[in-house]
Amino acid sequence: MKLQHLAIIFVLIIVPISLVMSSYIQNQIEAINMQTKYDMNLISSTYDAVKAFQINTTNNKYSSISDSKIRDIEASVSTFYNSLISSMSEFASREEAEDYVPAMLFTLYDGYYIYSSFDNVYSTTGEGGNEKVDINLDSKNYQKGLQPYVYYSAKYKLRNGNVITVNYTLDNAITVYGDFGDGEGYVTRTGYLINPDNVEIHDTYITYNGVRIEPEILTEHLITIEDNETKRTKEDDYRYIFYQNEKIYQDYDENGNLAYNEDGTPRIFWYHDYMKTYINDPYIRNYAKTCNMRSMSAIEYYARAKEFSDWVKEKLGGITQADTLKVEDGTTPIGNDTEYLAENTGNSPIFEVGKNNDPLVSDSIFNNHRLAIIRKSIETSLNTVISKFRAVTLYDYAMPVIDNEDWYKILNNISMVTFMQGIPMGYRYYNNYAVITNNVNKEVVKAENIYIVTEDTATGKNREYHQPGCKELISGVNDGTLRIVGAYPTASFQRQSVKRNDNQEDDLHFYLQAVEGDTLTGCYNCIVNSTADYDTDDIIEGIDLIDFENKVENGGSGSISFKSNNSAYMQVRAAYLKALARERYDIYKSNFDLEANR
Amino acid sequence: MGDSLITVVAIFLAAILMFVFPLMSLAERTDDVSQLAVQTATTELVDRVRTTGKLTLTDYDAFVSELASTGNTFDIEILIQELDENPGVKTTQAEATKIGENLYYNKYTTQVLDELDTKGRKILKEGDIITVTVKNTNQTISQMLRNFFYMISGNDSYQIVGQHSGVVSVNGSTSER
Repeated sequence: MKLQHLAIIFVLIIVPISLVMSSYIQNQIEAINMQTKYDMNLISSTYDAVKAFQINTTNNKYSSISDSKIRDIEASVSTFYNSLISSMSEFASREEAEDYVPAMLFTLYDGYYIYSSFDNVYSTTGEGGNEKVDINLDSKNYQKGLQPYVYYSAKYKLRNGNVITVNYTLDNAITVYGDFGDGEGYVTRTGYLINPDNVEIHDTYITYNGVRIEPEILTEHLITIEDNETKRTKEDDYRYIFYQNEKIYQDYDENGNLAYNEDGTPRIFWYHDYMKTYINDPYIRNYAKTCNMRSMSAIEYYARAKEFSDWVKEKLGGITQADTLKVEDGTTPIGNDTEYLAENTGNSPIFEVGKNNDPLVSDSIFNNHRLAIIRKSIETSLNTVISKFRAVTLYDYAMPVIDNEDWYKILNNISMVTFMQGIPMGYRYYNNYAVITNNVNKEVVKAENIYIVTEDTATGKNREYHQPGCKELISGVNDGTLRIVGAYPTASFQRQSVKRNDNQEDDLHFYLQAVEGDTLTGCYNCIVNSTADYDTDDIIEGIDLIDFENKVENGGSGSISFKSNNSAYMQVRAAYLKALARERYDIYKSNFDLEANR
Repeated sequence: MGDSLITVVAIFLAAILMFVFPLMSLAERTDDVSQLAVQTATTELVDRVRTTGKLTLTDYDAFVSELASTGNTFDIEILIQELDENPGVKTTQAEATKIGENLYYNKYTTQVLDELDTKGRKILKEGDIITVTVKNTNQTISQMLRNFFYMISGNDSYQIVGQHSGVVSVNGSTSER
């Protein structure tokens, strides 16, 4: 054979191979590009949904009541679909998009909702009496909706064989219920778990880990509609306290002095629908008088938490992870199965709180166990929901594996997780999820959700808010140029709106913390540039502050910026711990009424 | 004489066909695969920053080694735009309905890397924008072979490129643990 012939045969063989190869790789590249696009769409739609939830809840006084919450979540689901449909040309309607979204998970403070498909068929008994009618479920019988609320709970078997239940939350609050078998009968108790040895109770104040906590005056700026007919508005700063998770403000008289009723109690009001709703309930009035319109929340928080923690220690002290009952059947303890929970806490007693197991510290035994329980609960529910979803799809669908970093986000803040799958993409199907955490909410007060407000010492003006770990803040206080005026949750720094009529241009806007007619701006170091120099956990524990740059694990010299006994550091820490305790105490918690009536 | 000339030409052509052509085709596929890997890695990095609000040195190092695994060298450009909602430091942001008040400060690769080096992380907040662009700086085999036949001159003679950007959706957590 001639060389030319060989060459032609070679070309004949190699060209088709090369063409197929190139088309295959091209296809893969397109698939990746599509995947990128779908990922982007999923993330931004989820973000829109979270934003909708934020807007709906921060402007809604009743957002913590479950009926209202369900409504807010359903609104958020609608937002998700609207956003998805408008960004993806693949979907023409919400119904069409719903086929590709197997589940949406909303994790909240003490439990979670899952939005998914479920069969809405009542299982009836047949003619024979006991036999069940076998209903053939085709896809028409499936509906989309919010599943019942699931608490982050776990059951434990006590030494005496009794079973008790513990409900966890995203922070250190727990609810314990069950019969301990000690003659007290069925007990339900709720409270915050802390290290009780840190708290010392005195007459008018308490100390927590060296920080003195006293009643404090809180102020907020409000725009109120004084006259509903003319829509005349008034802007002023008001002192407030919390009473049963609602803010109560004290009004002023005509001369601008604090107003009192004839019986000497403060003239107080709720801020409802932008109007002042005056409170006539003598019980609330007397409460306001007794505390002299100073917030006792931080003191109450630590005092009650101490009492509760001592109780928990006594009753549940011996429980280890081996006593946890499996979620699947609720009767068998997990025993030596160290793989069952994501975090293995071994034989350490979970509720034996103390210096070595401080629930406020992120990596304590209690916290590790709590996160593992929440994760197990969510995993089990999601698996159930997603296996049901497989029934309505034509192909095999498995839940995507959620990686550890995403679990960390889910378990540490209220968040929304959306799953999307099944969109054809080259030779395969799209299957991914998006996790977006909710920064601004009234559900949970995370360690980083507190801002500290300062003003210039010299002028008493120029208010700025900082993160607790901000270098500018601590050095400003240290050299005397800044003075701390208070600490408030991040939600208090969100813009509030007053709606006067249907015309949006007539809306008024204000900021709760912009008091005394002063400016209020975010610190350029920590808020705008988001440079956190010191670890918030270090501040909670009260150990020496080391700049991140100087931390030994970051290759620094380990030189200390502020000693634990530095007075500026102590001031910042006191303001921070006080605000954290106060805000945690004041958020709405469904079971805490029980505790109040004890 | 004529025959031997044709034979020489035939050998030359056959060499190109049987050696250079498959090599070029293979080299280009390799670049396509590298392109795929680079684009995926870039997207993953940016999306991670967008959903966690944090760029850590660990993530960055993992990204760099993932790029290196394609066998090429890369120039990585990171642009972080930090949102300032209140640039005038005006009274209480009362005019927050006003459009166009938002300003972005740019931070470029060296500044970001500097912060990563000293602090081990760069925290971002909701509203910031991150853009990552990756271009190869070496000559890939396919580029070399192509230059053998025809030259493309100029600065932007890269073959593999990955780019992704997006708005950060959460405030980065300030706690290490």
